[in-house]
Order: sequence, then structure tokens, then C-alpha cells
Amino acid sequence: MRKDNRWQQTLWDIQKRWGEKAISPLHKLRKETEGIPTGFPALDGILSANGIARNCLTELRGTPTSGMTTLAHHITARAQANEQVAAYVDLSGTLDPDFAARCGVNLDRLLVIQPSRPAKALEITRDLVTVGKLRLVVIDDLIGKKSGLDRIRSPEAALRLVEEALHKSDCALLFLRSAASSALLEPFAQTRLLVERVAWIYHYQDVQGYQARITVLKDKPLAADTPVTIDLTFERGVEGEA
Amino acid sequence: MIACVLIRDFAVSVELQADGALAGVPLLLVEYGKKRGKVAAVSREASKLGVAPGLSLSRARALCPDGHFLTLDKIRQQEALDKVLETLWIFTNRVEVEETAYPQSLLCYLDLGKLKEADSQFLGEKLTQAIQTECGLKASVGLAAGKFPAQVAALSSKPGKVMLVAKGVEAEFVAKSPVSLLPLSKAAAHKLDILCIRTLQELASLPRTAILAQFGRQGKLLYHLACGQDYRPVKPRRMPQREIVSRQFEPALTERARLDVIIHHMADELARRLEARASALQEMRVMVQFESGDSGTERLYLLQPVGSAKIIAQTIYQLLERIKVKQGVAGLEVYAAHLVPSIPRQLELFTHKQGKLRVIDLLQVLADRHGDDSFYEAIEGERGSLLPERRFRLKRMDVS
Repeated sequence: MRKDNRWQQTLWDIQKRWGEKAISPLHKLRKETEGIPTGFPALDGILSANGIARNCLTELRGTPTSGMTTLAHHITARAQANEQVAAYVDLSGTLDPDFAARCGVNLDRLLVIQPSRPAKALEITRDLVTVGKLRLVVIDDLIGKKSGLDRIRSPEAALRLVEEALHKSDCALLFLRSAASSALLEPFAQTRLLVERVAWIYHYQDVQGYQARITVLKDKPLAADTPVTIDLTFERGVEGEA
Repeated sequence: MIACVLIRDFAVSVELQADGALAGVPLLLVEYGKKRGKVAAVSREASKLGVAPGLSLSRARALCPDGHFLTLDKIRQQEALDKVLETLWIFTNRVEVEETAYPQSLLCYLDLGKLKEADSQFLGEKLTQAIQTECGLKASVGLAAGKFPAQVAALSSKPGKVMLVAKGVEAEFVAKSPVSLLPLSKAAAHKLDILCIRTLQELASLPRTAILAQFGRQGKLLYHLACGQDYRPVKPRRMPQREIVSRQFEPALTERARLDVIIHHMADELARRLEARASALQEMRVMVQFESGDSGTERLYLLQPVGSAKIIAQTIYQLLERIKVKQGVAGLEVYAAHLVPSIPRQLELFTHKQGKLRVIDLLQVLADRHGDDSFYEAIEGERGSLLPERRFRLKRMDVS
């Protein structure tokens, strides 16, 4: 018996005894799903999923006015392509629909959730992911230094449930968190990005926007550590790339 | 062969059908324009007093102070006209309506092609019978080779009778008719009056060149008409695009479940017919005949053309709710009018719902579990406002 045949025979034997899902070749396990593009080819290029990975959690970390929300709106706009629906869990209650619209978000296809307590936000997120057939759920958790997630009694259990639901769905979950908040989300996030404002963009004496540097802190398959700088303007959200 | 169908006092007859108490009363139907009203149609009693269509209200009141003034019900008149035309379209689709006489009288020309005289006579009788049966109106029918002699024949015949003008004797037939029957302009009528030309025979006896010299291009037509020759073709009125599905029930339907099934069958049939002619309906009328003999009609003009059986059924239900069916239904008629070409759409492999609908579906699932106090949608406010918070606002979504 040739080596290939022996290997195939062993595979069949194991599958026959322990079920079809007990053993599978790695190439069959790999999902061929493209990520949601961020709108910045440079940033997409350094991310393993060519964008925000689906069926897993991505954390965007940064201080307020670092460009995190703008980037999230831009990703939402990309996720809404082909009549797709996205949801925005606004824990901080600071969503500006006008700015979101200027960033390209289709407000007709955006469900805004302002839950009364953070625990409810995770419950709704889990249901959104399970039931909703959404493309993207954004959780805006930028409540000062201490985020909403830190106030939940057992956030790990709730996050685990969300993670399980995510793996079974085709949805991407984007978490916006303050740079000063706890590292609670780190084990659950497949990708972690740090957003920092590096410089203001001037037009003569008027400030028109700013440059934001995005550093990949964690990306499971690839350990990229290359910062990318993008230009953000106040008028039209994301203006271009650097 | 041309048939001219004349219904005298058309508008008044239609009003009398609606209200029989007006019979014998000098009736004046008034039409109000942008500035002032004018008489649109009069009954015989009123016309004997000198009132004619086109007179101002003050003049009509002066001539007929005891007259019964009634506003012309244009919808009722139009419905009656439609009914007459539907009856005529059974015989031929080439039907022209003479607008100048309407609504005082209804004058229609039918192009019967190369029909023989004997057959034309028979068809004329059938026409009068059909109008009498279907519309309850008495029509005079004139048959001739041209429109004008046919019109003179119709005017000469009594209501409910047919008059045929044989080929070759048209000039002789129209000879004694007054020149006022000709399509004259005010100036031409005045000129004929000055020249003391009263009958068509007098006009026809004049040299053709003299008439052309007096009346110009119009003179040519006048001369031909006076000689009983009319080469003007019938300009057929466009048949309206419509579909009718009706059902009669013997005994009357009293069960809601059966009515539901029949409504869906009718909606399916209508949708199938619309699909076959690649059209969608934009106006729907539902008529219900009750077992007591009463009937109810409701009409709906849709904002968007509809072609699917499901939405047609929904619209029928909507109209039935307005009619309020509280007794057995003996008949149901669904009338689809204002048909427009259906817009071709890209077929989808999967049934994608619109984004907004998908959000609402999703919300209904979530609201059952978490309550509806957490879900919002962004509503556009003052577009172009300097304050961003005024441009959009968040509104709690209504799950119901």
C-alpha cells in the first residue's frame, strides 16, 4: 500500500469510528471567507483576513479623538455593501448619526442599540450574532476610563457565549475600547488594533483633520507589528490613506 | 360603412337614472370653471325656455328662474360614458367620440369597415338594443358611407330607431338639412348667415371655386359635406387598458372562509392575466353585490403599480373593509384599471429583503426577548442644518 493510500485509509478508519468531524485535513478546516475591508489597503494588507475578520472578535483600542470611531464607521459602511445590515451597540450613548452618514454609513440599514446596562448589551449582541444574519456588530464601549464591560459581574462567561455564537455565524464583531480600560477582552479578540493620533492636518491655519497611526497588537495567524498611518478629516470622515 | 350613434340629452338622462324625481323638471347641469360656472347640459324642458349649453349662470337663471340647477357629476358622467363605450367596443374597436356635443348629447362614430347595407341595418338594430339593455339609454343610429351623412341620419331618426342612407343618395339625403350641422367656425357661420345660405342644398349649389374663395381651406370640406361626401376617417378612441374578474354566487356566500378562498383565486387570476400582458395595475375597484340586492363599490388608486397576487389580494381585503360586508355576498367584481407596463426586474437567486425590512424583522425577534426600549433608528431631520444634532436624530423603533 502506498503512503497516500495508507494515510487515506487511516483517516477513513478514524472517521468511521469517531465520526466525520473527529479528524479532517487542515485545508478543509480553513474558511475561505474574506474579511470586511477597512477602506485602507495598507491596513488591510497587514491584516491576516485582508480586513476585519468575520466570525471572530476584533478590538480597536485608543483614546477618545484618536480616530477609532471614524475608522469603525468606515468599516461599517464597507460592511453594508450589497444590502447588508449592521448594528451599532452604543453603550456610551455618543453615536453621532450625522457623522456616521458622512462617513458613508447607510442609516436605513443600521440598527442602533442603546441598552440600559452593559450586561444587556452583551446579551443582545449574542442574539444579534445568532439570529440576525448581520455582517457587522460594533460595540462602542468608550465610557471614560472604566468601560462598561468592567461593570459586568462575570464578563468572561458572557464574552465566551458571544464568542461561541460568533464562530457559528458569518458576522464580525468590532469592539471599541478605551486605551485605559482593563485587558479583559484580550484573550477573546483575534485581532487587536491600537489607534493613536499622531499629528493634526492643517489647511493654512485651520485644522482639517488628523493623522492616526494604527498598530496591530495582535493578529492570530500573523504577528504583524507594522504601524500604518491614515489621514482622517472632519468633513468626510476618512479622507485617504498614507 | 360608418355608424353614428346618437344619445340625445345624455348628461340629463344619466342624472335622471340616478334620481328619477327630476323627471319633467327643467333641469340645468352646471359646470364650474376657475372663475365662474356655465351651463353644461340642459333638459328638454329647459331648452324650450331658451337655455342652451354654454350659457352663463346668470343668463340661465334669467331665462329659466324655476329651473333645477345641479352641479354636473363628472365621475358619474364618465362612468356612464365608459359603459356606453364598453358596449360599443363589443361591436368594433374603432369608435370615435365627438367631443363638441358632449355632455349635452353623446355622438359616437363607429367604423364598420366594408359591411353590406343589409348587415349594417341589422347591426344598427343590435346596437340600439345593446345600449338600451346595458346602459338604459335610448340611442338613434344613422348608417351611411361617411361620418357626416351618418350623423344627419342619426339626427333625423327617432330614439331607438335606425336610419340607413343608401350609397349614392347621400347628397339628396342631406340636402334639406340646415347648414348649422356643419362644423363651422363663428366667422363662417356669420358669413353663411349674411349670404342667406340656410340649407346644405343651397351651399352645394354654389360653385366650388366660389366657396373656396369665401371660406378658404375650410370651404373645401364644407363643400364636400354639403354634397353628402365625407372622407374624414374615424379617429378611434384608445381602448383603456383594464382587466375585470368577477364571480356570482348562488346562493349568496355567508362564510368568511369561502370568501377568502374566492378572493385569493380571483387575485391569482388577475395576477396571471396581468403577467400575460406584462402589466401592473395602478387602480383597483371592488364591487360587492349583497343578497339583499344592494351593492357597494370602493376604488383605490395605488401609489405603486401592483402585479403580484399577494398584494392584489391585500388590496381587495382593504377595499372590502371599507365596504363593510355584513350580509351574504351574491357577487364580487374586481376591476383593475390604469394598467401600466410592469418594470422588468433583475431576478434574484435568493430572496433578499430590503435593508430596512430586514432591520424590522430582526427587531421583532429581539424585542420579544429584550423589550423594545433599547432599539433606535436614525431619522433624518433638517437637511443642511448647521447644527449636526438637527440633521439627524435617534428615534426609538416601534416594534408594532
